[in-house]
Amino acid sequence: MASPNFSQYINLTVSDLNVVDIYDDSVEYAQTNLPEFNPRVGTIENAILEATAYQTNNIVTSINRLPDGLMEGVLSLMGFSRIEATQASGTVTIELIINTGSTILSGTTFSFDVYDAEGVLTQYLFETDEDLTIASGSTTGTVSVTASEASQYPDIPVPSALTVVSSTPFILNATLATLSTVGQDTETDAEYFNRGVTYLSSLSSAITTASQMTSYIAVNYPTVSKFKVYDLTEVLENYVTNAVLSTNVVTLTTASAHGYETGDSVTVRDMANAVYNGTYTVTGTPTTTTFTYAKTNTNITSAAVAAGSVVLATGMLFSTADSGGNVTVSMCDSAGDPISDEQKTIIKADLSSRVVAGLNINLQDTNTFNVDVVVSIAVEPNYSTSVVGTAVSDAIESYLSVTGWDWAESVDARYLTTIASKVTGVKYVDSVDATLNGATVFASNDSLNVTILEKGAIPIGSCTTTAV
Amino acid sequence: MNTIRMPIRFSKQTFEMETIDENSDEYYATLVANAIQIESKELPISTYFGVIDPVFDERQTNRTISDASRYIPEITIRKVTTNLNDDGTRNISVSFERG
Repeated sequence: MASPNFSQYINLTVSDLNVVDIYDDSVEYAQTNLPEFNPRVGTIENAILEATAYQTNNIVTSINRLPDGLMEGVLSLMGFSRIEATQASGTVTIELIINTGSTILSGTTFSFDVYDAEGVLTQYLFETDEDLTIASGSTTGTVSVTASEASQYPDIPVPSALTVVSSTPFILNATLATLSTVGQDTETDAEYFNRGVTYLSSLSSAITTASQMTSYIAVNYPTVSKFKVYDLTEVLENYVTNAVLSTNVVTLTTASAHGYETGDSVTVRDMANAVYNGTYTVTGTPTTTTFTYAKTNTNITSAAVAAGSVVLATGMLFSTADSGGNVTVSMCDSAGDPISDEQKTIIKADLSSRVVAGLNINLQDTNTFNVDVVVSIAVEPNYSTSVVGTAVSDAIESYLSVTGWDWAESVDARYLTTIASKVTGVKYVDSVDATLNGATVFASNDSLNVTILEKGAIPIGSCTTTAV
Repeated sequence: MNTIRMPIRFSKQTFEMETIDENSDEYYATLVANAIQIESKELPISTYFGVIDPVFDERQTNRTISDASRYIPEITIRKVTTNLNDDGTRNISVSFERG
C-alpha cells in the first residue's frame, strides 16, 4: 500500500437499521401520542407493525446499498476496477513408489498443512493444472499447480512436503518445488473506495497542486512507497558520472543537465574519493552537464564515477525561502532505499508532462539519520514492566521509521510522550529525551527534541525504555 | 390495550375505528382465532408465535388449538368441535374459560 494513507471516502450509508430497531422505534413513536400503546403479539396491530418494519428494513437495506453501487459504477465507467483475488501457483514434484510408470491426473489435490499453537489445522490446497505422466523406469515428475481458491497464501518455503488429499495410488510423497506467486486477497470495500477517491482526486489534465501530485504518484507509482511533495522547493539533485581535479579546480560531470549557475552553493555526497565531498560554491558551468568549484588539493586524474551525487546545498533546507515555480518530490521505496534512476526518469517525465507550464519538477532521494530516544515510564500495577517497556519502544520505533514517519519538522519529545502514553499498561510517562546518534547535516539536537533541518529527511529511531 | 376489530369497521356515530375491549371474551376469542391462523415463523420478529397449519389434517386440530392457547395464558381451552360443511369447508368451534 502506497503511503501516505488516504481514507477520504465518506461512506454514504445512512443507517442500516434492522427489523427490530424499526419496530421498536415505531412503538416508541406511537407511545408519544398514545402512552398506553403496547401491542400484544397475536393482535392485528402487532402483525401490521411487524410486517411494516420488515418491509421498511428491506427498503432501507436496498437504499443503503445504492451509494456504494453507484460509486462503483462511476469508477467502473472511468476504467477503475476492483482488485480481485488471485490464486497462488507453483510446481510440485511427485515421487512414486513404483517405477513402472503412472499418470497423475489433472486436478489431483495436495495440501500444505499448518498447525497453529492450539493444534488447529489450516490446509492450503493446490491442484495440478494438467495430467502428469511419469514414464516407466522413472519415479519422479514435476507438474504445475494452482491454488484451489483465490486468496493470499502464506509465503510457503520451498521445498515443502505436501499432503496428498486426492485418493491417488502409487504416490510416495509430494513436494512443493517452486512457489511462483502467493496470490492475493480481494480488496475490501473500504480499501476499494479509498483507492477510488485517491484515483479520482488525481484525475486532471494538468496537476496544479501538491495534493493532486501526491494523489497522482500514490495511485500510479505503487513502488514509490514513501514520498513527500514539497511545493516551492528546488533541490536540483543530480548524479555525478565523471570527476577531475586539476590545478585546484574540480570539474564534475552530471548524469543530466544540472541547472546550476555560478555562485550557487552545492553539496557533493557519497563520492568514493572523499576529497570531492563537501559543500562548495559553483565557480563555472562550462556545459549544461559540467560545473566547477575550487578545491585545494593535489591533482586527481579524470575518472568515471560509479557513486556520488550533487545537490543544491540550500534547496531542501526548511529555512530556505520559497522557490517559485519549483516542486520537489522526496521519495524512496518501502525499505528507505532510493528509487531506481530509470523509474525516477519515468516519473519526472510523466509529472513534467502533466504540470502547468513554468513549473519545474525535481526529484530527490530521501535521506535518513539516526535518533536515540530514552523513555522513562511508570507502569500500571499487574502489568509486566518488561512487556510494557518493549511495547513503548516498539511504538516509538514504529513512528521513527521509513513507513511511520509523518514528515514533521522535528522529532518532538512531547509527541513521543503522547505515543508512549497510549501504550496499554503505561501509568504515566516520566521523561522522554531524543538525541541524534552520530553526526548528520540533516538535523540538529535541540534540548529534548531533534530539529530537522532538511526536507525529505527521515529519522530512524532506536528507543530504550526504562521503568521508574 | 384494545385491539382492532376485524373486519375493520367504523362507528356510524363517531366515525372511529371499532375496537374490541381488552379483557373481554371477544378479545380472547380474537386472540385464539389469530393464533390459529398464524403459522410459526410467519411474523418477521415474533418468529416463535403461531402454529402448524392444521387445514388438511383434522387429527391435529385439537393439538393445534392447544398449541395456540399457550400464547394466551389467561384462558383455558375446554372444548374443540369441528363441523364439515357440504361445500367442503370446516368450521372449528373453540370453547374456553377465563381465569
